[in-house]
Amino acid sequence: MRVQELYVPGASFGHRLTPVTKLVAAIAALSVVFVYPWPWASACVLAALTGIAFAWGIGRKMVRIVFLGVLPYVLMLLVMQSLFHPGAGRVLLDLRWVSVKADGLRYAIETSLRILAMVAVFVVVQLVTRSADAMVDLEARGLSPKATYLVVTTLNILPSLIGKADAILDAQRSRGLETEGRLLTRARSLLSLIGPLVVGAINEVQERAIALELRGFGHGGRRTLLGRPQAQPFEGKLRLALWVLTAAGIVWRVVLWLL
Amino acid sequence: MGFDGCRNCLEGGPLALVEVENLSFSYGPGLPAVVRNVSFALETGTVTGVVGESGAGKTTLALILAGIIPRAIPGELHGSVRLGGRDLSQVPVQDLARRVGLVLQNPFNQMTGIATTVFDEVAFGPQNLGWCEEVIRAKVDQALARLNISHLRDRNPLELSGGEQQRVAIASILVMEPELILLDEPTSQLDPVGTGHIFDIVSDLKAGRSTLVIIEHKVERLAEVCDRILLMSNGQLLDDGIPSAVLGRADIQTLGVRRLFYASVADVLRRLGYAQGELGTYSETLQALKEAARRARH
Repeated sequence: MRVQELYVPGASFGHRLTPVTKLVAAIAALSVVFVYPWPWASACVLAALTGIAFAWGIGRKMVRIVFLGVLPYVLMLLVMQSLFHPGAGRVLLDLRWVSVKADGLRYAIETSLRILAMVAVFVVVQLVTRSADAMVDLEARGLSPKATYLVVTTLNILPSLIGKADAILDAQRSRGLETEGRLLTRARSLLSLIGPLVVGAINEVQERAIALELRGFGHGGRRTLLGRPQAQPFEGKLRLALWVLTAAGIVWRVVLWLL
Repeated sequence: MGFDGCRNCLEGGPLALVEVENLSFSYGPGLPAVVRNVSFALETGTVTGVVGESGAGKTTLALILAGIIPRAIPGELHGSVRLGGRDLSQVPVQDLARRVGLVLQNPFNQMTGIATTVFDEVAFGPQNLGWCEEVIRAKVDQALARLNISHLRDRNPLELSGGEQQRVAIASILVMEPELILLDEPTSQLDPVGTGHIFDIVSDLKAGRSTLVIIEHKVERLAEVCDRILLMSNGQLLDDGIPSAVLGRADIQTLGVRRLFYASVADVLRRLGYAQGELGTYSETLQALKEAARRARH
């Protein structure tokens, strides 16, 4: 089975929110991670999302994907940045040939937390949102079908790639490639994964574009929308508050930059 | 191999739905032609098989007939393709999906990737065409019933088996009720049972007077359902005729296509003197084989 969507059926608060509200919340969370000038904002967002995920009944799956799935890459980043960060900062550990610098370690931790928080945002939204609902909701609010499809498939990229990567790794393992064990072994297996993953994704996109064309996606007329998700009364105000949070971050950042 | 649809019509012959004349195509300037000077016509309500070795130009021909080439895939196209008497390049994009349906070889890539149920997947095309909700629901249910997949209605299409996905892909095309249905190796990823289901569907569509073109390598199955066979090699149309004549050609294996098994049996019967002349069909061959067995027993 190839994983294409992460959605976990449920009836939590997160499941009941309309997809547009969840997308606005995701944008606000990403603005906190990337725009707000706090070094530990990413850690706060990550912790908050983990708590929310457990409250919504998707905690275990979220932890498995975000922490276990992304951790090897984050660890690699930590090692590389700690050891090879440019500049002459305070040395924490001298290993003769290389040294661990305080600036490098700090940069690596901040970047790793940002990556984890960003992935967590996408994963939590995905776990509580059906793609079809997102498409209907966005289109009903005036977004063009093509733009909507782009947004929804972009959100689906992560689970889709996870599914394909698993299949490719299985194929590589069956031909004797070591993919488990030491960090170096895992890094080597990563190289044999990237080529087939990228080429496969390009081929799939081309064929899927043909398939969509054959099914009238380039029709240009108005699409019929089936089963639009119903918004709860407070969602308008919630979205407004989230937009204010996002805008405030951008303004703050611009002001800091100007000063 | 020219064809005059109007003449046929005036003479009371079958009406040509598709007329292809002197068609050539290459994927770019300076690249070799993938389809070379091909001409044929397809009558309404007929089933046509297309056979040939890999790289013979079968899929490219299907993409041209579906209007994908040169609209979505550019290249150098010469000659003409007429659908219902109208030049295919003049058919507006918005009409194309209702007129021609193509089922791709890999059903997974035919899925939208955003539908979470088989119903949503099949409804995607009619939604794009802007049909009203009641009509969409009724037509989708009809298509699911026709393909015998109503029980999969609420399942995730991406979690189905290859055979089930292929049936969903066919339903997704049939629901739009196109005049011409093209199937590009629909059984290439299926087991014998799944293959049987697909050919049952083809027989059902044939009974319903649909016009079909099937690109396929399973020659015995093709001979059962097709009215005629187009044999392609290196981009050219080498032969065009009834299944037993084309698929029974003595040289067909050299062209990368398996020969009909019963054509080989007929050869043996003739060589042993149990049959004379042409044994064109499966039933004629079977009859000769029974006669040979009876004579051998006596």
